[in-house]
Amino acid sequence: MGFGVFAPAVRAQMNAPAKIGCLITQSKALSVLGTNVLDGMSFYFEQNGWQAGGRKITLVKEDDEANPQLGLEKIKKMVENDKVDLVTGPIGSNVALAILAYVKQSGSILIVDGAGVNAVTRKHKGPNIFRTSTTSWQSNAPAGGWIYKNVAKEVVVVASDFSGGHEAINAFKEGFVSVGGTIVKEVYPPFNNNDYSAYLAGIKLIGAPNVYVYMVGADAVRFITQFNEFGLKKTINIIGTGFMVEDDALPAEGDAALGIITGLHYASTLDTPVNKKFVADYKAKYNQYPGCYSEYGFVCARVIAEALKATQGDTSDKKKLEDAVRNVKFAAPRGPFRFDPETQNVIQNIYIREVVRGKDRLENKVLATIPDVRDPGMS
Amino acid sequence: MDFLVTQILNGLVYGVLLFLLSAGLSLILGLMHVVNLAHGSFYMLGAFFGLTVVHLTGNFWLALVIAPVLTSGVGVVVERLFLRQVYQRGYLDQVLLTFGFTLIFYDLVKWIWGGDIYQLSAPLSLIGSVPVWVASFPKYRLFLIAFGFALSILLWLFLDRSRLGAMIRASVDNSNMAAGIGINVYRLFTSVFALGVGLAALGGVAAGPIMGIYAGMDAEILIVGFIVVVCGGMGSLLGAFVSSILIGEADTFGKAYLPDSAMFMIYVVMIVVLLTRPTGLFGIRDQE
Repeated sequence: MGFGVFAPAVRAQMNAPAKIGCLITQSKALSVLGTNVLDGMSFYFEQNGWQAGGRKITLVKEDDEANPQLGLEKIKKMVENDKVDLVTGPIGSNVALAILAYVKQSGSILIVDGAGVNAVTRKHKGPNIFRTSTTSWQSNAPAGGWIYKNVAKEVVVVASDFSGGHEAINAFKEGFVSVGGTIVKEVYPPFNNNDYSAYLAGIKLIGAPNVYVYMVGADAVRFITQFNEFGLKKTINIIGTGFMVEDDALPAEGDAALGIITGLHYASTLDTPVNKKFVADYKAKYNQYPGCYSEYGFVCARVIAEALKATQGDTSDKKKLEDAVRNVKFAAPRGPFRFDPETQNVIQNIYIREVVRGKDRLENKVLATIPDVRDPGMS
Repeated sequence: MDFLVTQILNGLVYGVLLFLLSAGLSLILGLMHVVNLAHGSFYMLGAFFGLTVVHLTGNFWLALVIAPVLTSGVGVVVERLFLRQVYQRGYLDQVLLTFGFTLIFYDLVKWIWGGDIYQLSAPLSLIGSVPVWVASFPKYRLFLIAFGFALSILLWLFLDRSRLGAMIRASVDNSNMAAGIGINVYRLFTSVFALGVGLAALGGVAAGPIMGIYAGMDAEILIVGFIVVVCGGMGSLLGAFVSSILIGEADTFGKAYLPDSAMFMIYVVMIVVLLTRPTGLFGIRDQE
């Protein structure tokens, strides 16, 4: 009797598509980022026939507008009303922090494929919380040491005034100051800022030859463009996070971005067969080069697909699905991909890149590789 | 020196944009005694109309003309159909009504244009920088300063020298008396409202290449706009102008010297002005 009732239910579940919730930002400064992550994800699933482990895949997309309250509302909606099997996202660190308590309490699996705020896989880590993108620490601290050794001993830091910006700067300091670097001054313009003219004049006044910048999305484009317009580029070098000169932003920044040295876990110029194929196929479909955000979506989709394969499409047993995700390991466009069993955060290479003029575009040339960077977690 | 020149110019740019918004706000408040919270929405609406015109025609100058006209049209409809009902009903009803409009316009803009930040590109002839004395300054921003000053002079000439201007000034001073000597105050209200809305829309388009265009740009500028009006004195064009420049410079220098408390500088200016001149720099003493 029990079997007779149970079997059709399981079969029904197996026949129904696996629902993946995408909590993503499609408004304001982060909108391009969100769109690219979604594109990367769709791109992977499309290449694989929108199915994995025998299940059809559907995406449930919600825009959190980079607003923590709204993000919480939207994830509740996806988990409780749409009954998604797992949730991916968000982009904004502020949103990530706001939804973690709910994720823990509801037990739904969250794969963070954007937000870098360390706490997700440190203070708030949990068996159902994974991260495929990067931590603020990973993308700033190792670069800090390299920059001290090879580029600058003294910098002014400039970062958008939000949790992600402050955390990135703290991580950078960890790598840079600990080996002897000096921070001359710290400037924090608001997040979602438009006009940097006043801040730029202030930076020029300080007179330091190097600035370390953490900005993302539209903020980065405006900062770099105005930096050039006000003539600072002639006397001051920009170094900083790779996010601000990724392929989504480079065309808009143009020559103003030339020479900027950054650290990131990806570069579309990486010379590996996996990446070359990814870039060529993506370019053929979207007619633009994939930046790290498109790669985020692509990798996250692959992680989900591999996990579903391992469970043969079964999403009903959350423990089993979590184990499957935890064990995913493959060669990603960014390099070797695997999870840290301790934090469930990705272990990956960090690349130091410089913006140069390539054959048909501006691109990030890889200067150095820092292999297998693992977030230190709680220490 | 370089720093000082750049910062003064930056302050002027921001001041000019604030003036375009607050001139209308101040006139509407002074003349019609209406607290128009939707004024920022017209600034935003103008910017988005401008964006669409630029997308369709590729001509920034055309946008600078068409967008304010279109927005004024919307403003006239709002004034005739809705605002007119609450003139006699006190500030609370006006605030409620115009706040409602800010929500409607915000959602409308998000619905039509989406949540992206758009960057209007400056006309080709104004792209790049030019040396200004010891500093280097973007051309478009210099143009904006010149444009804003020219417009202020035109506005002043209009209010001070034209017959319509005289009627407006008379009504600001005492609207009952003005009605008594045969001025059609209601029609005047509509024209002033249209003028104010048009200026705000012009500001929105002009700000496009610098500040970006996005849903939410309305609230950001409106707060500062009200501070400008309060500092300058309600209904005074000169007050709006002087206080716009003052606030623009205070904000700009604040951002450079005290980046952590830049917004605070604006309030310092407001507090000092209100303590020394409670009706604002060029405020008209209360008529009641």
